[in-house]
Amino acid sequence: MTAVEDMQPGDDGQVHLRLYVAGQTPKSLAAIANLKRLCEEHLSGRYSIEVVDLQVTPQLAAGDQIVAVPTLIRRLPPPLRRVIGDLSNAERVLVGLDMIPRSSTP
Amino acid sequence: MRADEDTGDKLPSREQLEERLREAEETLDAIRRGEVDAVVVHHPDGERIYTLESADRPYRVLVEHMQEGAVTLTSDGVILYCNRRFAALLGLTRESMIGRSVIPYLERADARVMTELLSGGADAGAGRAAEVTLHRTDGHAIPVTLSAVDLPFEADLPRIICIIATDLTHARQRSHELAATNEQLAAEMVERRSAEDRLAVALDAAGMGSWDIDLEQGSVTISRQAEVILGLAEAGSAARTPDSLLHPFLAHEQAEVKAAFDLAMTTGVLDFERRVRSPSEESARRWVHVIGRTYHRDGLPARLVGVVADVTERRLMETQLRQAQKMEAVGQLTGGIAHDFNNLLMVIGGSLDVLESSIPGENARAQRFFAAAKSGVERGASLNQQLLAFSRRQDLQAQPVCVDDLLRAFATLLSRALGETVSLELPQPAQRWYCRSDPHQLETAILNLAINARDAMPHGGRLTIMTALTTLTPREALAVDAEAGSYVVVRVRDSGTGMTPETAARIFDPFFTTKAMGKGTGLGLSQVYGFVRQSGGFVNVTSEMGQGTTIDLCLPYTDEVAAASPVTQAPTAAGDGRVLVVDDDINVREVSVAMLSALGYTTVEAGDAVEALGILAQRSDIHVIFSDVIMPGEINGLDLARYVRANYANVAVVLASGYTAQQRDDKGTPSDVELLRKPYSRAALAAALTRARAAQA
Repeated sequence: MTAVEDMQPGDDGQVHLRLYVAGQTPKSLAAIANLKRLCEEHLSGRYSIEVVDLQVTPQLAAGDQIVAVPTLIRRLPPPLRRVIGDLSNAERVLVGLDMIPRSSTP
Repeated sequence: MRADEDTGDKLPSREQLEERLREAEETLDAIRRGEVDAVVVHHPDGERIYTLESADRPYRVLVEHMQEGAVTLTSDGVILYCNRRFAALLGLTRESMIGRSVIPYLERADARVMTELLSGGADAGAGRAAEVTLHRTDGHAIPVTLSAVDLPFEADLPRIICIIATDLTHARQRSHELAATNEQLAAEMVERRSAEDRLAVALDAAGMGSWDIDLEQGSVTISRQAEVILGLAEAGSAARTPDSLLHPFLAHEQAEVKAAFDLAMTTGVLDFERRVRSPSEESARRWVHVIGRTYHRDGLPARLVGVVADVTERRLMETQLRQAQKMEAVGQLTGGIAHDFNNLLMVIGGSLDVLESSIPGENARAQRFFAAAKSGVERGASLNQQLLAFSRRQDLQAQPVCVDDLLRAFATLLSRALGETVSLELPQPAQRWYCRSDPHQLETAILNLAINARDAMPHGGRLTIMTALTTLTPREALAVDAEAGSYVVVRVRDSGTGMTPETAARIFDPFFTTKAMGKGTGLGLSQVYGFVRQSGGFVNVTSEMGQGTTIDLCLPYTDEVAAASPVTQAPTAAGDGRVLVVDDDINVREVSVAMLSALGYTTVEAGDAVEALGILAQRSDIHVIFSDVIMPGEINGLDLARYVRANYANVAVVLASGYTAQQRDDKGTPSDVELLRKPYSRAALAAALTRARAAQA
């Protein structure tokens, strides 16, 4: 099921993503690697990723109301979407980011 | 919409609440699934991040595997943690180190450094570094760099200091290797410099200087010795250009020197001799020999390197040698001619002697022509004598001679020869030196010089003859082709017109004369030269136009003192007895036979020594053998004389020769053998025969 056509891109067609990590924790490292791979597969040339290390700047956690790390936020296009975890389940990530429709049974 | 969340008191919509619930559920799911390893706790004074168990593993792996030692210490140096590498540096296990002080693992002197590092000083929090030496358990000392930083913790917790230790052993080792390499390089440079020094010494010993033209840079390196040889002022290396090397050469030859250098770029070799201006004396010019080679880089001439030597002395010696060789060659030729000429004179003179008795006394006209013919023979003989003297083949009667005694004995004769306008001065010498020479020939030589000097002073002047003693070193002797040792110098100086160098170079050549045709034979100075050379001496000529001429006759010094030997003049006496005449020239033999017959002797003839020995063996009535010295065949006259003297005690020997000196020099003439110089008169022959027979009796 390919649902790229269902996606709602931003005004300029770009997808802006922000990933919150906590230093080099294994899940943080895994999340960065997984996100990079997913974007290359599904959003090649149309995305940008911003990685926020909360070990360095913990105060940034308040803005997006982060409670668990790693957390991925879709900043653009609106609405804001978030996916919690190491992003190892590609389908769940794509659903979470509204890139494919939510199935009836999660 | 979540975006409406902050817009005021408006209650969230149902969708928004459902969305939040879903997010909360997803978060819980993620945590439950273990996809999350850190949580953010919102604190009144800010957010705190708490990582879950084993979340710091990547850091651990990094720290445990890095090649630097890592250690965490309390501010008083107690080890809280260290990585494997730090333990390995000390040769210990981590377990044995945790909880112990780090200080004992350090070199004693470094304890204070560590204390300062731990205290942090004013800059607590900032990075600090120091170099210390760690003590391994096996006794090795490990140099390390320590960089320390305080671990930022809450203020109520004790201070923790993190230190990274970098092993400097390899770096040190490398710098030692570098130092060793440097040292080796320095040693090689010293070696090379000493090789250069040795080369410089060798060049110096050879009297050579070195030069090196860098054609690419246009610069010149030149040794001090080369500067001296070329007459260049000391200028250091910076100031020289290749063109500056041309300046010492004579102005009109510089273009040719430059051409030689240019040609060397193509041919690769440079080799020429040219004159340079002497820096000390404006007029003096020295000869230099320049040898070089071109070195190429990428097919283009890059360097021209070579040596330069002062060859003035060598060229002078070469000139002298060439002169000596020329004189030798001319002497050979002259001697050969004189020998044959002697035989001719012998035949003419001898025939005239024989014919004399048959001229009627009353025929005055015949007598007059006869006398003229005899006078011609005598003049020919005397000319021949000078030729022989020049060719060093005259018969020298060498004996110790005191030149001053000789000079004073014939001063009157000299004065008369010089004439009234020339005064003769004979300064008293410091000592009476003896030289080995033939006194009669020496007189003739001095007389020849005096006459020459007189002719150089047409308006009068002064002739000074003095003696001195000089000693030649082997090197000086080589230059004049003589033996090293002491020489008596007979200096003949006139105040005359002097000579040009061209004339001075030729004055000893036979028949060279500057006098008007018929005024001189051109043989006077040739006699002087030949005689002195034959005596083992040499002649020096110094002359300058308008300054007069000085001629030094240098004769070998001897410490023997002369034993005055009176020349006995035997009267012409009628002879009797049988003479064996040996001569290969039938004309000479016939004349000799005629003369002997006229003297009253009976004769037997032989054409060579072998025939003569045959006759001697057969006949016992031979009283005298009269033989020529030079004859073809294996046995010459001297050999014959020696054989006869040894085997026939009662046979006297008289030898006759055109030139005899060389043969006498070889083995010597038996003392009781009479030697007769050709051409000889009947009277001389008679006297020789009488003396020989008297010695025999």
